[in-house]
Amino acid sequence: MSPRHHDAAVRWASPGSPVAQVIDAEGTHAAPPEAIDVSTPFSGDLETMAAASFDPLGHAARHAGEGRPVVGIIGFDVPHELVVAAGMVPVRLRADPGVDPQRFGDLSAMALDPIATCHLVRLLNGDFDCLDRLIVSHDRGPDAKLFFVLRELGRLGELPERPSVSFLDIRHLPSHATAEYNRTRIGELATLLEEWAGHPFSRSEVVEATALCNANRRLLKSFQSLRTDAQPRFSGVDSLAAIGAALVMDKGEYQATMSRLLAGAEDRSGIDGVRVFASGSGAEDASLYRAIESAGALVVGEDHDFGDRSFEQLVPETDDPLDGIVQAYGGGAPAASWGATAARAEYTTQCAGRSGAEAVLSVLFDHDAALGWDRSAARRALAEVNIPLIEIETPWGAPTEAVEGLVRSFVEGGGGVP
Amino acid sequence: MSTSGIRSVKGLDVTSAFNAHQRQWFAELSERSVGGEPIAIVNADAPHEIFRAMDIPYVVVQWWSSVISAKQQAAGCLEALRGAGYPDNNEQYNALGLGEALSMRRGGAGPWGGLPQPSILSGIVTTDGSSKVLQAWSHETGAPCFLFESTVDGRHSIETEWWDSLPWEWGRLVEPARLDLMVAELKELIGLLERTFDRQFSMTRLEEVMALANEQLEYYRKTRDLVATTVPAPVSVVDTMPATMVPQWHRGSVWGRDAAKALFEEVQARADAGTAACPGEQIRLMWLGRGLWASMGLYQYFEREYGAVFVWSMYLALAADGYLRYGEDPLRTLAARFVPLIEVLRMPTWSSSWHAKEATLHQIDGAISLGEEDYFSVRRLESQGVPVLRINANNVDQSTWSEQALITQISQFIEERVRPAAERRRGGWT
Repeated sequence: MSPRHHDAAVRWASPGSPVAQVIDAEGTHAAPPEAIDVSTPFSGDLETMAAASFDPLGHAARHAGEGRPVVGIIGFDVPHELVVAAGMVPVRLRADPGVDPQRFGDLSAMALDPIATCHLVRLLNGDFDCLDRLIVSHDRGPDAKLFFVLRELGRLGELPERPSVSFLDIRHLPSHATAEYNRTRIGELATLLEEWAGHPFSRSEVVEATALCNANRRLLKSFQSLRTDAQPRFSGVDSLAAIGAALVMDKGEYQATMSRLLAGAEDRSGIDGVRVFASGSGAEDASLYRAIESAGALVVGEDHDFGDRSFEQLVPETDDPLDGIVQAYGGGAPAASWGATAARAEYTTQCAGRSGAEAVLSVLFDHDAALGWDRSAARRALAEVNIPLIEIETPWGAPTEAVEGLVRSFVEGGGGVP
Repeated sequence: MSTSGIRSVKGLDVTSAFNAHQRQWFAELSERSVGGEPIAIVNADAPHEIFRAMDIPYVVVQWWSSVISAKQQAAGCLEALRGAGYPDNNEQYNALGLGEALSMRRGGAGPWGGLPQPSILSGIVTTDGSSKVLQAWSHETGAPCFLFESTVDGRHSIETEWWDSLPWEWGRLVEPARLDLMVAELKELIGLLERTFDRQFSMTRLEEVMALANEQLEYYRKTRDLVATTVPAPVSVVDTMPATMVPQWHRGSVWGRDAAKALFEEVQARADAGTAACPGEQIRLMWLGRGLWASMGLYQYFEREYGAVFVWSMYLALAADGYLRYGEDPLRTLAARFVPLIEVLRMPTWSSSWHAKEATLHQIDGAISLGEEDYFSVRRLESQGVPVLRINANNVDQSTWSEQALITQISQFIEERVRPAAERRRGGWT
C-alpha cells in the first residue's frame, strides 16, 4: 500500500479525546509541506476583521459607544438587510468556549447545547448589555430551545433588562407552503424592526441595504477565489476572520476594509499546505482551524455556516425586496442542522471538489451528534469522487493537540492514525 | 450494565386484552403488507388521522421502539445502526426500528416477525436529528419520506395555563400562520397518498375519525381525573402506560374509542370497589420522561419496598390534556392538535406549569425525571414541595442506566426526601 493510501475505517479513541476515522479513498498529495505559522498575529485589515469576527461583543460595544443601535443575532436566518434598512447594526454573535457553563449553576437540564448555553450565560452575566436588541433564529434546534428558556426566564423576571429578546422562525423544507410561512415571518420581522426604529422604512432603503450586503458577498467570492487559487493567499484562519467579520462589522466599513484587503492580496505570498475542506460543525472560534493548519493542512473551504454558505448566494433583488429575502434565507445551500442528508452530501462534495481539497475533514463536536446521521451519505458521495474523508469527533472547546496530531498523521501520509 | 428486565405484574384485564389485540392487529398488518398493501411508518407526533381516514395502516415508530426495548432487543438494534455507519448515541428512541431493519437484513429477527417494509415514512422535524433519521430510513428502505415543519410561536408572552382552553380555543392560543402551514402540508400529504396509493380522501371520513378521536380522548381525561383523585390509586403507570399507549396509536378508530372506554370503566370499577394498585399506598410518585419499557417491573419494586406508587406518567396525562381539539374545519382542527403538541412536553412555559398542575391534582409526593428537559419543571415542583430526582439516561439505551443503579438512586431519594414529604401530606389531611 502506498504511504499516501489511507486505510479504511482506521479508528482511534481514548476517553475524553477525539475519535477519528479515515475513510478509504485514493487521495494522494505532494510531499508534506512545512506547517503554516499560525502563531503569526493578524495584521492590517485582517487584524481589524479578526477583532470583529472573534470578539463580536467587543465590536458591538464600540458601535454602541458611537451611539448606534445594535442588534445582536444568534443564528444565520436573520436577514441583516432588514436590520441595516432599519438603521441598526446587525452583529452576529459567536459562542466562546472559554465561558464557564456553570457560572449560573447547573443548567444542563435545560437541554441546551454548549453553544446555546454559552450565549445564555453571557446574557445572564450582563455581557450583552451593549446590545439594544437580540434576535434568535431557528436554524438550529438548540437555538429554538434557547428562546424558550429566555422567554420563560423573562416571564419569571430573571433576565437582565437589556437586550430585549425576539425570535425569528424561518423554516427550510423545499415547499411553497414553507415559503409562504417564511414570507409571513419576514413581514413580521420588518414590522418589528420598524417599531424599534420608530419609523417605517421604505422599499428603497431595503433595496439599498440588500445591494450593500450583496456587494459584500461578491467581495467574499473574490476573497474565496484567492483562497482556493493554485497559490492560496489566505489561510483557513484568515478566512474565518474575513468571513465572520462580514456578519459583525458595519456593512459599509466592511466593504471598505475587504476592498483594501483584496487590493493588496496580490502582494501576499502563497501559502503551502495540504488542502482540506472542513465539514460539519460550525467553527464558533478559530482554535480547531489553528490546530489543523499547525499540522500542515490548509483549510480551503467549508460547508458550515461560517463559510461559503454565508456569502455564496446573493439575495435576489426582486420587485418586492422582502420576496428576495425570503428566497435567500429560506432556501440557499443546505445547512448542517436543517439540510436534507442527500443535499448535504452533494453540497459538501461539490464544494470540496471546487476548492481543490485533497481531503474532507468532517468535524463533529459532541453536541452535534445528530449531524452524524449525514455522514453515511457523505462517505458514499466522497468515495465516488475519490476524496478521502477524515472524521473527527471531539467536545467543543476541548484541547486541540489530539486533533492536530491526527491531521499531522494524515498530512505526513502515514495512512495510520495514532 | 443490566439487561435483565424486571417484569411487571399488570393489574387490569384491559391491559392484557389490549396487548393481545395489538399482536393480532400487527399480524394482520404484516399480512396486508405481504399482500401488497401500503404500510406507513410514522412518528408519534405525525398527524395519524390522515392515514386512518385514508385506510392506510400505520405503525408508530416510538411504540415499536417500546416493543423492541421490552423484548430486550434495543442493544442489538443500536449495534446494527453503528455497523451501518449511523450514530448509536442520539435519537435512539426514534431509530431503533431502522436498526431493526438493518439487523434483519443481516439475518436478525425482530420482535413479532419484525416491522413490515414501509411504503411511506412521515414525521415532524422536531429536532435536527429526527428528520435525518427518517431520511436515513428512507434511503435504506426506498420508502418516500414526508416531513412536516416544526414551527415556533415567537410571541413574547404566552398563556401558561393552556390545558382547559386549548381544546376549544386553539385559534387563540396557536398562531394562525403555524396552522396555515400545517393545513397546507396536510393537503400536500393527502395529494401524495392519493397519487401514490390509489386512495381517495374523504373529508366526511376525516370528520368521523376526528369525532372518534375526541371521544377516545375524553375517556382518557376522565380516567386521568379518576386516578388523580382516588387514594389509594386504583391503578399505576405499569397499567396506564401500555393501556393508554396502545389504543392511542389506534386513535380515531372504533376500537380505539372502545378501548379507552373500557379502560375508564375498569378503573372506575376498581375505584368504586376500593381496589388499589398498592393496597398499602404511602407515597404517590410522578414519572417524568419516556417509559422504561425494558424494565416495567422496576416501577412496582417501590410499591413493595416503600408503598410508593407511580401514579403519573405523561402517557395518560398527555392523552387527557394534549390532544383534544374541537372545531368545524377538520383539517385545521387536526393541525391545531399537532402544531403545539411537542410544546406541551418540551416548551418550559407550558410544560413546567402543566407538570406543576398535574402534580397537585395527583397529590404527588415526589417525582423521578429520566432524560427529560426539565429545568423549569424541577424548579416549579421543588418550589411547591415536590422533591425531584433527575436521572440523566436514555430510556431505551441500557448502556446509560442499570436497574440496580436506578433502584439504589430512587430508594435513597424516597427515604431521604420523598417519605418526609408524603408524611407531611398525609398529616395534613388528618
